[in-house]
Amino acid sequence: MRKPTPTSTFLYSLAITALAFIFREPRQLAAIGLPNGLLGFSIGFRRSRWIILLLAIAIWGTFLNALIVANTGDPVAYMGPLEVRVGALNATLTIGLRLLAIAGAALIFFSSTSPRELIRHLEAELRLPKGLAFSIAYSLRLFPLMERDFREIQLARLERGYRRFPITPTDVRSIMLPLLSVGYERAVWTGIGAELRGFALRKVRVKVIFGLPELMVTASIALQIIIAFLP
Amino acid sequence: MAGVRFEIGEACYTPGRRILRGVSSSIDEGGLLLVAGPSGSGKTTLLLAFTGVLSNLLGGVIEGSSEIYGVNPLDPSGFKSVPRVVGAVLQDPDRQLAMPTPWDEASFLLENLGYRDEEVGKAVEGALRRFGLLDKAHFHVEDLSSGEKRRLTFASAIVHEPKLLILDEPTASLDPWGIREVKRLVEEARKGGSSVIVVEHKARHFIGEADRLMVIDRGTVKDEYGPGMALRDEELERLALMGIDARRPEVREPQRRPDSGAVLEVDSLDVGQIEDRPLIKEASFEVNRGEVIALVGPNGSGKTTLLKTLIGAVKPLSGSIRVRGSDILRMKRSKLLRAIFYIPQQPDHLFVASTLEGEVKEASRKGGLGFAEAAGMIPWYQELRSQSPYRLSFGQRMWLSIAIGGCYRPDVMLLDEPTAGLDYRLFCTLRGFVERLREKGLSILIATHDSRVVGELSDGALMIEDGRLRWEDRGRVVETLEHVAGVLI
Repeated sequence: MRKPTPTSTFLYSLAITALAFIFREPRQLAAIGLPNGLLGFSIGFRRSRWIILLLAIAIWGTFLNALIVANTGDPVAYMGPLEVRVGALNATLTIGLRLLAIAGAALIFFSSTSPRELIRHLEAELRLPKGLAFSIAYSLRLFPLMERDFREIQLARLERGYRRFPITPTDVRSIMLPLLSVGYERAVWTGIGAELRGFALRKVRVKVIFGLPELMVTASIALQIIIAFLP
Repeated sequence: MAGVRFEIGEACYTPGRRILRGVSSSIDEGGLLLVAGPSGSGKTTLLLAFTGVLSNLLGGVIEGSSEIYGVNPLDPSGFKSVPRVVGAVLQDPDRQLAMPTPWDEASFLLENLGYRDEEVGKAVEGALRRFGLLDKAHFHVEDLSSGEKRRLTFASAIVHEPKLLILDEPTASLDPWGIREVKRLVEEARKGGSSVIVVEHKARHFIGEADRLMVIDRGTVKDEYGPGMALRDEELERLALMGIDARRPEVREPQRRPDSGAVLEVDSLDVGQIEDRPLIKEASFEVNRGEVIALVGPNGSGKTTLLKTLIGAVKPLSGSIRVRGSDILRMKRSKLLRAIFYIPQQPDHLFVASTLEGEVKEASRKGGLGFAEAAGMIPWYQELRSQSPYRLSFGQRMWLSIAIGGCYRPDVMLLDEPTAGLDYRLFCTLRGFVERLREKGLSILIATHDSRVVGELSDGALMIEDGRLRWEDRGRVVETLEHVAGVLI
């Protein structure tokens, strides 16, 4: 059986992201967070290990934040002199599951498509303007390059006596500046290269594909919604 | 018959700021026009101008005319036909490759031109086979070597059999083996009837093959040489003074300093891992105080991995590295990074501030060198102090990154391909700066495949061949590099 079209996985990840913001209860969020997280991280782990790191940092940050703004209810654990209450855990769980669902769905999408397929399908099925479709597709090509740049920047920062990972806004800025500078220069030349290769001439043939794989993707969204609302 | 003809009266990116003036030429079918000039002379602008990119995409203004095999690229409707007759290979494959696999990359142009799926499949298969990439058609481009990426840019440029092939600084990031490959590809394209335009400041690589050499500087044509050109020594000297690399590098007297004491000692070092064997095996060498040593080898031979092993960023498989007698594996990281400073190939990675002044202040504060002394290392500091470091020219950015390294007062500085993309004038300026640092006692190890560095800057050469590192006579290294690249002068 062929794999689902990029349009269907794109819409799937959009739908899961929307549900992650609509659902409020941890039980509902678990219905979309766990399956998408498990599936996404198992198929996308090799290509996007950095997302796991980002997720871990985000959950840790959420927990610290929850200790300040939502540490209410009965105590459930102690961290030295600090009482961790049920409210902080609930808030961390809710946001953690939400992030897990979004990251998992994004990984499913990224891992099951290539930029070229994505351009063709977003143009032909969703009728997205070709410039926008190319930009989305090219961002997928840029990720590995930016990951490589990021590793080099980390090494350079260590040499210069700065933190490897950003903590303060100044750190973030000093990492983003070289990343964006190199990325911008690359993007300009890639754009010129794409135009010299006839991007302006690109004709879009509208063609919608909806077969068994796409039906299964749609059914899986429906199933997750039903599970979320089971008593 | 001239297939390509252009007469650029004036060209500018923004009105009133003229970049090109009075540049014209023509190329026959199967002909090769070599456009040489120093960095910033307007070479790339010329390419963008006569192909219509400047006026149709970048908002520039062109006065003049251009015709490429019956297409008028300066006219907006004609510009749309340019991709049908032109194939372009840009300077850096990473800036050109837009798709994730070789198959997708080579298909991109054909899909844009509206070829049917079966035609696309046939043409792409043929192009990838021709460039030895069919086995890797569905690999991720990041898993290709730099030479394979370069071949892919060629495959994607000629997949529709264009009548004109344009190459913008094709040798910038290539080793001599890659340069030889590019020359072979150019020859093949010409045999197939394509006209070729090569823009290059390392003119010596193509002078032997070119039908015509056009030398431009500050946006105007300074010289033009026709078929059967034979450049005399004084002409080569004049081109060199303009920043054009048109002659063999000299091999200067080395200044090895065995009595000054070893600063860096490497013994039986195995580094990197390729399948089940080390990338470089049993490397042993010493660098003395105040010496400049060139580390030479083809792309992918392990030069960068060795440099990163020396700063502790990559763990060695076995062997020892000592700086001033201390084993780096036992040194505190902060101390190690001050003993050896690594300058990456992409200087932007080293910057942390948003102005040149901020950059120098930070380097001075963290490195411990006085601000005045730090700023004094940069001749153009006063003029450009408030400018973003990312907006400096490549040569200036490389200079700044070495100056930043100098602020940390290391014993050894490691430079990774510092001269890639630098014209001869900039190379000479950088050479002067490195020599100043050397005079202060800094030892420098330079990973390179640039014969200018080996012959004119280094005191000794370490050659990587078949995973082994050995000292080699500099004259012989220069000879080898030039011979491999097929330089005929």
